[in-house]
Amino acid sequence: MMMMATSAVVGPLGNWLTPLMIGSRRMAFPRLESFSFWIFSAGYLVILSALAFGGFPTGWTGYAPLQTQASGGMDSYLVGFAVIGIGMIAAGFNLACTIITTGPRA
Amino acid sequence: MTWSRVPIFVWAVLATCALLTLATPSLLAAGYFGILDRTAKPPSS
Repeated sequence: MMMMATSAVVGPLGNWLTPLMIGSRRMAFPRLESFSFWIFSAGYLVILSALAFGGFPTGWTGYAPLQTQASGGMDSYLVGFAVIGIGMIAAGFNLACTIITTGPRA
Repeated sequence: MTWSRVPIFVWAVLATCALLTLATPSLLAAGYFGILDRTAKPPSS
C-alpha cells in the first residue's frame, strides 16, 4: 500500500505538478529525480518477476511468519521492495528539498 | 509565492515526503532482515 501510494502520488503527480505549482523552474536535484524514476522501474520489473516464480502468498504486508515459509516469488517481492525503497528515499528527499529550497519565500 | 499561498497539494506532497524520508529506511532495514531470514537461516531453525 505504501509503495502504491508513493508511486502514484510522489512519482508522476509529485514530480510533475509540484514545480509547476510552486513556480519553480526545476527540481532541486534533477539527476536524483531521474535516478529515482529508473530505479522505480527496475524494482517494479523485479516485483513482477514474482509471477514467474509462483507469486507470494503474504499480500502487500509481507509479514514474517508467512514470509519465511513462502516459496520462490517471495524473494522477488523482497528484493524488488529493497530496490524500490531506495528510489522512495531518493524521490522523497528530492521533492522535500525542492519544496523547501526553491519554493515559497517567507 | 508565500507560505500562506501554497496549494494544498504541495502541502500534502511535503508531508508525504517528510514521512517517506523518515520511515522508509526502517522499512528497508526490516526488508533486508526478511531477506536474511530466507537466505541465511540460523542453525536452530
